[in-house]
Amino acid sequence: MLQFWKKIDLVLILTCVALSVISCVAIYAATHGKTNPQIPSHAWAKQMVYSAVGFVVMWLAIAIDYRSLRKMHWWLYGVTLLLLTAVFGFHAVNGARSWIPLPGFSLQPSEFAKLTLIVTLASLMANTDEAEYPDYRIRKTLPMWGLMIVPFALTLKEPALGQAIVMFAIFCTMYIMFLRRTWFVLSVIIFVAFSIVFIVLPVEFPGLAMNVVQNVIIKHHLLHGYQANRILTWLDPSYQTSGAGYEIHQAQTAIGSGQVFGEGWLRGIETSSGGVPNQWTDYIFTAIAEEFGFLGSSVVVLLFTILVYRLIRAASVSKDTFGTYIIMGVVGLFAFQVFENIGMDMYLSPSTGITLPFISYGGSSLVANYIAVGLAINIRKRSPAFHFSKTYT
Amino acid sequence: MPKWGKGRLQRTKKDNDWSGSKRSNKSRRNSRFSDKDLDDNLQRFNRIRTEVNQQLQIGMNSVRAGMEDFQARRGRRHERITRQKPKRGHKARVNVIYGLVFLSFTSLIFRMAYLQIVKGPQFRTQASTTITNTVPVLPPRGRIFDSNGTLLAYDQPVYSLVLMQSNTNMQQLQATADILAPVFNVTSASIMANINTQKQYAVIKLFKNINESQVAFVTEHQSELPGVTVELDSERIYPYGALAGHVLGYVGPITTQTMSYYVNQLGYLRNQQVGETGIENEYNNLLEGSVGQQDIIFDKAGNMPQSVVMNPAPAAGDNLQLTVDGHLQAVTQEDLVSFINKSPYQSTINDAAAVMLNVNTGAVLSLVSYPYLDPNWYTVPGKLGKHATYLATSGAQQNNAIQNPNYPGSTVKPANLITGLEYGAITPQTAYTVPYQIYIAGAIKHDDMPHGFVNDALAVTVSSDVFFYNVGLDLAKWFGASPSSGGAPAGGVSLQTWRDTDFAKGLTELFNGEWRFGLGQLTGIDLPGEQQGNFFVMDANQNYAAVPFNLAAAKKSIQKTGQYTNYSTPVSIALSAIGQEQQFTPIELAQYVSTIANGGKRIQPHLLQAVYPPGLVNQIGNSQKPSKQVKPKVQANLNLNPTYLSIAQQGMWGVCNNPLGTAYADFQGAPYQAAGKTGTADIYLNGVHMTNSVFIAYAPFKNPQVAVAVMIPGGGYGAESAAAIARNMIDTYFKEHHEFYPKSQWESTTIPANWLTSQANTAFTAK
Repeated sequence: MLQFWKKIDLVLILTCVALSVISCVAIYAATHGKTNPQIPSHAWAKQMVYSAVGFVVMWLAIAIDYRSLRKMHWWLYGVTLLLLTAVFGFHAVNGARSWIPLPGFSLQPSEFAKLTLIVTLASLMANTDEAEYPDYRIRKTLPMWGLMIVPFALTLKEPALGQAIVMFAIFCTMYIMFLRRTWFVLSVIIFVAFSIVFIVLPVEFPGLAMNVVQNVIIKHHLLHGYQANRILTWLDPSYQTSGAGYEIHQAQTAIGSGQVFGEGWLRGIETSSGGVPNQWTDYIFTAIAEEFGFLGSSVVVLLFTILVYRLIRAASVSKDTFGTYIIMGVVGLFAFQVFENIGMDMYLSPSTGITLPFISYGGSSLVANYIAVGLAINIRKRSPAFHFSKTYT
Repeated sequence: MPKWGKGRLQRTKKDNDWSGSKRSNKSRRNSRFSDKDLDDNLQRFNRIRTEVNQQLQIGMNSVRAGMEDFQARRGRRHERITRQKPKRGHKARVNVIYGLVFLSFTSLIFRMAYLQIVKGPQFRTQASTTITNTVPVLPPRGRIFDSNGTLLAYDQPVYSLVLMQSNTNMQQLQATADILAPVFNVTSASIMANINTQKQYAVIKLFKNINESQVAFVTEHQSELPGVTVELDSERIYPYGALAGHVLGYVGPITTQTMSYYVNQLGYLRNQQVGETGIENEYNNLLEGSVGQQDIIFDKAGNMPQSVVMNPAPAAGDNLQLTVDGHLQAVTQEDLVSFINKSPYQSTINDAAAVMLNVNTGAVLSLVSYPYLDPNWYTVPGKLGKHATYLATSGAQQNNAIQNPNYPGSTVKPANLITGLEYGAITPQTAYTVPYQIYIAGAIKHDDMPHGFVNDALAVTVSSDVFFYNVGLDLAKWFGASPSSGGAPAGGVSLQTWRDTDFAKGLTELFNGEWRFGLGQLTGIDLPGEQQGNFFVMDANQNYAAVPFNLAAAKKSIQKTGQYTNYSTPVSIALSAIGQEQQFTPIELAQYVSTIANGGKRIQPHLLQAVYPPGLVNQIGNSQKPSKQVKPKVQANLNLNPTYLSIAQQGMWGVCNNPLGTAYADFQGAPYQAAGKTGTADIYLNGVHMTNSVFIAYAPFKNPQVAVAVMIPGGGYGAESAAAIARNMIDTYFKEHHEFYPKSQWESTTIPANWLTSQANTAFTAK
């Protein structure tokens, strides 16, 4: 029994629990006393129940042998595609067909699709790694692209652009892990260069960038109008602050007004007056930032950093490449969602409908996240190097 | 070779071992070298050979390496790499990725620090000097159109004056009230009182339904009226008044009864209007749209809204197109009311209904329920009071076409003829002179006139009751009923045995033959509150009164045990065969005649033709694309024997086209050939005997298009009232569709210009 606990990454579990507690507190602040018909009743209590369910499911994910997933990854993938197709048979909620209404709750298949995508890709990559003569040529990776494109396209069709982009981010993370070293180095360089352009562009040349969006992207219908609006909003914080840019404008005001120590729980000016739209889901971070200030929001980011760090450690001690790939997929998932969700509130990136892992309101997302963490713990538990790693690292 | 080799070696050895060794003389003589020397030499040889081999091996190896290098340059380097490194480590990459994640998370912290610490005070001021008020915004309800694209229901914008209040000071409010009072013809004190009663709301309603000059005044004096805005509300308008009022239904507030459904289950707001009856109720979920929210941002200093943002914007409901033909509906409604007003039976007619269906799709082209109601009475404020007595006493709130089953009389005969043929009670060759009257058990039953020699089809055409008494009695195996004898059960069984077996089977067969056409079961029309018809059986234990006959239970019992206990009489099945022991609704009758016309397909009648995306269009034209089109739904395929069906159809053709036919006079001169059946049922209203005038028909006889059912209780014979209405409906349909009639008599699809002033639209207020 002791042996079992020794191998469980308790720090990781405690981090998740801490995030769940913060979630309930923040959702309570964002929803209490509101008349908005879109807010589910007792959202914070429901989130607590979802957390508890997620926590239990996490232990299931720890208990099974994750290597058995390798045998059934095609089944998982197939069921996921079925569910992703099934959503089109149901009513749209807020204009997107992302949910399957079941008695008591709505299932959001795209949240689980991210996990099955990770497992399927990891399995394929590990097969190559373990082959007698591994073949890392780019053209041999085309099936992986195919595996990513199908759920990506289905999710994009819902439409849930944010979820689709997360799938792509997961894929990229795992893909550069898999490629030859030269490609890895090249990808990292490209990523860093792209990030620099991404940061410099809106700061230094907002006019030029806006022109490109207005005259190329909108003119040729490369994106939906509302999607182009989000890019314009990001490039120019003063763009349509009472229209398309309203949400983020309000979000940033809420974050900024939190100052260092925050305005206090349930005393946020924007949060308590419902100033930030969809605050209980996508913009939940603004509630934390406004009511708990820089201190509170730093703690959240710090907790996410710890989460990623523990995952990274699990990945680096794993001697099973299948496990390593899974964990890196999960790292990609969390890291991208955290950066995108928090970043969009502060004009660091264009806004998309992405949840903040463990904190945004939503059962499917929460359970999926707990499963992801459970898998990582599972992998770490079963890697033989775990005991030695303590002395080495 | 060995010899040479050995000799040479020997020589060498000799030189090497010059110093000699002390050995036996014999060996020294025979050979100058000892055995040991020989071994040494052998070892040396082996050593040299190994060395040479090693050298060779090294040479070969370098050649092989060269080959591999060569191959590697041809692009197969990965093979060599993996041979050297069978497992690649991911550790370095994992760390690089961690580094990137760490950097991006750090950038979040930096950005937060900038926003919250550096710019924080600025944002705090911005947040605390504005106040956001959230007000729900109701969506515009979808519009309703007829099949020709004419607008039948829409939301009329109504302007109200509201005060958005936040941190209001009383002096300012008083000033506002003083400015508004004269324009709205009230005292400023009453305005203040009004404000005080709504103090708890974010948005205070000052005046509802304000006129355009008042709107203009407020807009002009906006700067003197802080927080006062003109708000758009809506009122449901039915521009053609009583036209298809029962079909459209009306909207109303959510009541305490419907609260749990709309508010708790569907999440509607309490002040939303929902469909109470008719299409408005049936398709409320399509018409309703979804509620939006308005964020109104004030600055703290003044009370002027800084900006108003929809979050989210309300989504309008879908527009619906009905299958109802507004022109046909208007003409029929007007025709029915003027006919009744001129009728000798006017005093006995309390209600009536007429339905026309497309026989191939089940589309309801016209659905009229008399007396009429105007849905505007319920939606336009101040109108309901004037009409409350009429609505409460006239029965206008009931849709007689779908909610009021009544005796169908002889209109059931075509169905019973088919049943009789199927079970052998009659054959296609049956023909005889029907007596004027016969005894059935102890009772004497007669026709309305002697019909003489009839065959199957003619019996329908002339509507011989005695012929159908015999069909019923034969089905029940009660033989020998004649002008002189009441007959007896077949096989001489006891009366009770006969009741439980042959009678029960016969009656079940007869009723089931009607039931399968849709009679006595819900048609499934898309209107709330449809009532199904009833079957009855006479009960000897209850003084031969008609009691409900549970057809489903009877069918089940007979299938299981071969009998169904009852205490009836042969008269019961004889009367059932002529439609006196059952009640059906006009919509059921319409579905029934439609099924006869189309060859045996029972199609669900429906009123919704198509769903269109939201939009404030005033007409549906060809340019609009529906988001959903309703497809015909076949409920059952009856697989009728074509010969039997054809005989029934021939009989119905005769009704309208044979000079002996009961509705011949009604259809004289029609440019098309119709097939129909009259029904004249004995009914009692408040103890007074009268007849239910019923008529069913379809046209044209060949390739039928439409089916009609008309029911006018208290309207005399079927041919007297109902058939005349039906004739007019079919005429109008063909005139409107430019068939059979000469061009001079064609009618357009628009609603007649004089509709609003017609009797049908105006006569139902004072009554």
